Amino acid sequence: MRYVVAIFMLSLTFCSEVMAQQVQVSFTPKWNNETLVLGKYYPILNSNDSLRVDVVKFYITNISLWKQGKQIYNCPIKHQLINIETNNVIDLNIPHQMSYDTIQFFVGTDSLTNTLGAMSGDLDAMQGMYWAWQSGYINVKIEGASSICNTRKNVFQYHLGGYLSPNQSRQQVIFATTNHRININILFDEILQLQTLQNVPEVMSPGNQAVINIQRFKQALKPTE
Amino acid sequence: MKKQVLVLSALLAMISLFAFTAKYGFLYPAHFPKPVYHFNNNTLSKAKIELGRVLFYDPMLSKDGSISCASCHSSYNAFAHTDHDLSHGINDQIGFRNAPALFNLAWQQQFMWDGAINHLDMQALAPITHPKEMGENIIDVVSKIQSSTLYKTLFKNAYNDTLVTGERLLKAMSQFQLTLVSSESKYDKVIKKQASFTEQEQRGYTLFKQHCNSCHTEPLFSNYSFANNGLPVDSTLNDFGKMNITQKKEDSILFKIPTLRNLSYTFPYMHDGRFKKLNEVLHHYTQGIKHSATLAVQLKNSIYLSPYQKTDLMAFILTLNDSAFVFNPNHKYPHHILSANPNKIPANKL
Repeated sequence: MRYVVAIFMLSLTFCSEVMAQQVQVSFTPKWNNETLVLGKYYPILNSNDSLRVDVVKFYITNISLWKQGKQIYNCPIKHQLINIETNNVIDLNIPHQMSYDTIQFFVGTDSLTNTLGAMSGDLDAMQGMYWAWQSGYINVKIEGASSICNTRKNVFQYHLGGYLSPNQSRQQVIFATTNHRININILFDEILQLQTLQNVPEVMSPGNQAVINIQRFKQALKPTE
Repeated sequence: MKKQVLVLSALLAMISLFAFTAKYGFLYPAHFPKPVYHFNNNTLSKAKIELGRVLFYDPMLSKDGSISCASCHSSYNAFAHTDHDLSHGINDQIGFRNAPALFNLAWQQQFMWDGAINHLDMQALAPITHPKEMGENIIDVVSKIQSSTLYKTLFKNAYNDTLVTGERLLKAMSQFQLTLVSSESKYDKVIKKQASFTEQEQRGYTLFKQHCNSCHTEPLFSNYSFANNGLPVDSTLNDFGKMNITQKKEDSILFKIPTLRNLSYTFPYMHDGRFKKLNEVLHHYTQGIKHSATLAVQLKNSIYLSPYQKTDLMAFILTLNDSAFVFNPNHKYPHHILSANPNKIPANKL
């Protein structure tokens, strides 16, 4: 009898794995339609200068799939850190034959998460995405250098976060899609524009500038057709 | 039989004096409010508290191995830094704020003089990474600790495996700091009906309730909110307190209200350590208030205290000293662990 139960349980596990399907969400940094390589120099639009991007890290949270206005799937892993250098893909295991017409997620962590103290995994302070001098997660981190930046070593640093009103930086993103391979391009030529690099090369704290820049980041997310 | 009744009565009295949250292992006196720290996310254990204590006293947490948390928060100063107006850091650097006393932290939701930190677990990151304090970063701290044979044992004891993460390290440090409860002063004994105030202390207590209690609220002797207490801004520091964090002008010159417990051990006073003596503090509140837009409403009308009243008030304030807390051996440098392992840090990790 014990063997029958064991075989039954195993078959259930096997079936549930067979019945699942995988949706892959990937993020690809772009510069003028070309895939951006970290550390490589690119010409800045409307300028004779160039730039390089060294670090791109951001939190994608609360991924959900929707069909005809109803949520049909909620990713059990709430917070996922994308680090373009090491990991730009999120895998979702959804039930077999589930179809959807919309994907929804947030760029950034919610305000509650910012007040819960020390966390593990992608939220561990070791990930370099938690401000030390004040509380709160850095939702998007972009670092690099350009001769156009009037800063020490010509660096630009955008550490974008903030969870308190009126400077909450978390951004909701909604895309219509039915694909199981969802690639989202990040158009860095739209994020790192000439004027931005010249006028505001560093944003290191929560505030209006952080919100403006993270909104620009959100607008630069474009799903591939 | 009579003896048994006496013992039983004493036990019942003890039970009535202490609320014990057995689930999370945190003991606090019955006359204290409920703690605000969420122990369900970090259940106390002896091994984790011990790990946190060793980390607290270990200079390995600083860039050059010279400064520990205890360098500016010494147990015999009620975990403040007596005699130094501003905190010290690596390479003999001077910070820009007075190191606050660390105790009764389970009742506090915001930390640092400007409230920059919203959770005890994350507080240690600030001094660890500040270039004028410990000048290190959490990734390198974890790497150094991971390489230490001593910490392998301590982490195994605490977490059942040797894995070092930022979360585990920070939570262990919280655990030790949460055990720093000061509740055995004469005031506490009076509240628990184990002692009585002198007439002078009682007069001082009445004055305290009249003039001080709305901000320095008993029994913690702070409401742990933020206020402008009428100090003129020190032009050598230009510290505007909470406004530095919130960028709101209504938060200008607002600093966290410190507790009045253990003041004999924690001089100098105020966020910039400008007053060395309690007499100077009383003089400020009676004759030194600088009026500005954000001045605390309680200080808008002058406080008058005669010299006799000041003496009475001081007598009461001294009843808030807690020598049992200050000399508690469980809070001191863990000689039995750190001194027994002098070569715990690989040289290439320093």
